[in-house]
Amino acid sequence: MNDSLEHEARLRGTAVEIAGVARRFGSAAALDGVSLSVRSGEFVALLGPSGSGKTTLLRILGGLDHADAGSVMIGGRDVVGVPARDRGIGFVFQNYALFRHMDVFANVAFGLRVRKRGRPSAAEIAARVRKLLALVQIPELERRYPDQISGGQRQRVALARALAIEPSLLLLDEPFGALDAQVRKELRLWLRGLQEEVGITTILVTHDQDEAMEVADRVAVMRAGRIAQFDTPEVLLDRPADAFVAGFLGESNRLGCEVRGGMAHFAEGVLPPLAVQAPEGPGLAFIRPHELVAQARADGRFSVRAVRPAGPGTRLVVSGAGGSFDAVPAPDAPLPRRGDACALEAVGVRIFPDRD
Amino acid sequence: MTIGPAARDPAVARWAAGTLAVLLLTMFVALPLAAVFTEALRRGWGTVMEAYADPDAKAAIWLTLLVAAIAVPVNTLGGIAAAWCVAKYEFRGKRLLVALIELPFSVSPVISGMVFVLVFGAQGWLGPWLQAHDVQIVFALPGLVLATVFVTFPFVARTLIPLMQEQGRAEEEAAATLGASGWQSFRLVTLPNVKWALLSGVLLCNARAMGEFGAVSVVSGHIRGETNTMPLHVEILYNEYQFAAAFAVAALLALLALVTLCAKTVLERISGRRGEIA
Repeated sequence: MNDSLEHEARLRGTAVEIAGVARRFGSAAALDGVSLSVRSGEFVALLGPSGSGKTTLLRILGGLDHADAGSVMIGGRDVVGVPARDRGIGFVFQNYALFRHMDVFANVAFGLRVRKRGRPSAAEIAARVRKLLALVQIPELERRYPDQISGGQRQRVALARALAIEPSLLLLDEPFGALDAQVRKELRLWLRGLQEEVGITTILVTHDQDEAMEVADRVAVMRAGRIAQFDTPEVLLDRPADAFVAGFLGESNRLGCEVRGGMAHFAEGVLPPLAVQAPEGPGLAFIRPHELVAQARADGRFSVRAVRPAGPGTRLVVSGAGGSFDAVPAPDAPLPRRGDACALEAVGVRIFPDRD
Repeated sequence: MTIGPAARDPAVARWAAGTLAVLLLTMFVALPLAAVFTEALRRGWGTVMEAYADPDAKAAIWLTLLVAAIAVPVNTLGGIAAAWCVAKYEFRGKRLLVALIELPFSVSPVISGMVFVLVFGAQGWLGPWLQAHDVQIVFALPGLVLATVFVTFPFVARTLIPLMQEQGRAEEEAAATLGASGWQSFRLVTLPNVKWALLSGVLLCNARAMGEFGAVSVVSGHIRGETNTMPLHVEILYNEYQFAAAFAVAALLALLALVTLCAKTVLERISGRRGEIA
C-alpha cells in the first residue's frame, strides 16, 4: 500500500463492515448471522451476557478465528482468509497476554522488531516505544517485567503494545475485567480520551453495561449469537427494540400484562390499566424505577419495605400483590416511611409481546 | 506461605513422615551410591585409572557419549514438537498421541529392545531387505541409538506439556496480531517461555540415555569394544569377577548422573526465581 494513503487511513481510523457472519462450534452456533457496520473513528461496544458470541465476533475481526459464513470488510478490504499477522489490527486480550519473559519495553517493541519489511532502526524503535509509554503514562516502568507491575499498569502496557504497530482498528476483549472497580472506572474514561486523541476506530467487548454505555458512541447488544439492537446508549435505554434489551439494560420492573383495545391490563390488577401503543395480546411490561411512582395512601394495596436515599432523590422498595417493585416516592409529598401503605402509578412503560 | 496453626499437622505426624523419608532415602539411595564410590576407590586411584585406560572401557565410554549425543538432540526436537501439538492445538486422536508419548515409560525396556530386533534383526520383518542393501541396524550403532531414543522419548515432552498447557495460546495469538510469523512466534515467545523446563527435561533425558540398560542390552549384541555401552560394560566386568574395574566404570556413570541432577536443580532454582514454573 502507498505510504501516504496508509498514513491517512490510520489517522481517520478505518470503517468495519460485517455482513451475515456465522460461526459454529460443533453443534452450537456462536454467531448466527451477525451484521454490523462501524464508522471510521467510532467507538463501539459489543455488550451481552456470557456466551452471546461477542468475543467470537471480536476474534473473527482480529483474524484469530474464522467465520463459517458471511463477509468481513475492514477499511474496504475483504479480510476473509487474511491471517492475523497481516491484518495490522491492534488487539488487547482479556488477561493482556503480555510476553512474560520480556520487560515492558520489549513487549511494546515486539510488533516493530518482528517486522520483515520496513523495520525501523533500533533508535527509531526506542523513540517510538518511549513515546507510547509516555502516552499511556507509564514511562518509568520500561525495565519492569509483567509480573512486577499492577493489573492497571499491565493494561496500559497491553494497549501501548497494540498501538505500537499503528493499527487502524483497535479491538479490546474485556479490557477492564480483571481490575477492581475504582481502577476500572478511572481507566475506561482515560481510554476514551486516548481513543479520541489517537482517532482510531475501536471495538470493545464487555459484559458490563455501565462500561459500554459510558465509553461507547454506539453499543451493539448481543444475545445468543445475534445482535439484538445496535444504537446509541440513549436510544437503547429509551426505545429498546425488544424485551431482551429492555430487561438487560438498566433497572426495570418486569410485569406480565394483557393488551386489549389499546390499554394494558396488568396481572392481578397490580397497576391501574394504562393506555399504551403495543400489539394486542399478552405482553411483558418494563417500567423503570423512576417511572413507577408510589403515592402514600391509607387504602393503598402496597406497603413500603425499604427507603433508600439515591443521589438527589429517594428510592423505594414496595411490595404487595404481584411481588416487590423498585419505585420512587411521589414528588411534592412527604417522604413515605417503612411500613406505610401506598398505591402505585406508572408514568412510563415499554411493552413487548410475550412470546414465551 | 505461612500455614495457620489450624492447618498445621500434629508434630508427631510431621516428625514420623520426615524420619521415614530420610530413612528410605538413606537406605535405598545414599547408601548404594556411597557403596559404589567406596568400592571403586578401595584399591586406590591407580586401579580406577587402569580400568578407564582399558581399550574396551574407553570404547564403551566413547560409545555411551556418542549414543547420548545423537539421541538427546533427536528427542529434544521430537519432544518439543509433540508438546507443541498436544498443548497448543485441539485435534482428533490427541489422547492417543499422549498415550503414545507415555508408552516408553510403561513398557519394559527389554520389550522395546526386542521389538527393534523383531523389526530390524536378521530374521526380522525388514531383515532381508536391510541385508540386501548392506545396512546393519541391530547389533550396531543405529540399533543402540534407536533403542535409546525410544526409551528416553517421554522426558522432554512430559516436562513441557503441562507448562505449555498452563501457559495457553494467548501469547502466541498476541504475537500473531503484532505481525509475527509462526516461526518468529515460536522462537521469540513459545521457546523462551519454557526454556528452563526444556533444559531440565533435556538433562533428565540425557541421564537416562547414558544409563539405559535393558533395551540397549537386547539390541547391542555385547560386542566388546564395538557395541558395549558403559552400563553393559559394567555388567560384563561384574560377571567376570573384575569387581574393581566394574565399580570404577559404575562410579563414572553415577558421577555423570549426579552432575546432571545437580545441573537440573540449579536450573530449577533459576527458573523459580524468574517465575516460569510458578
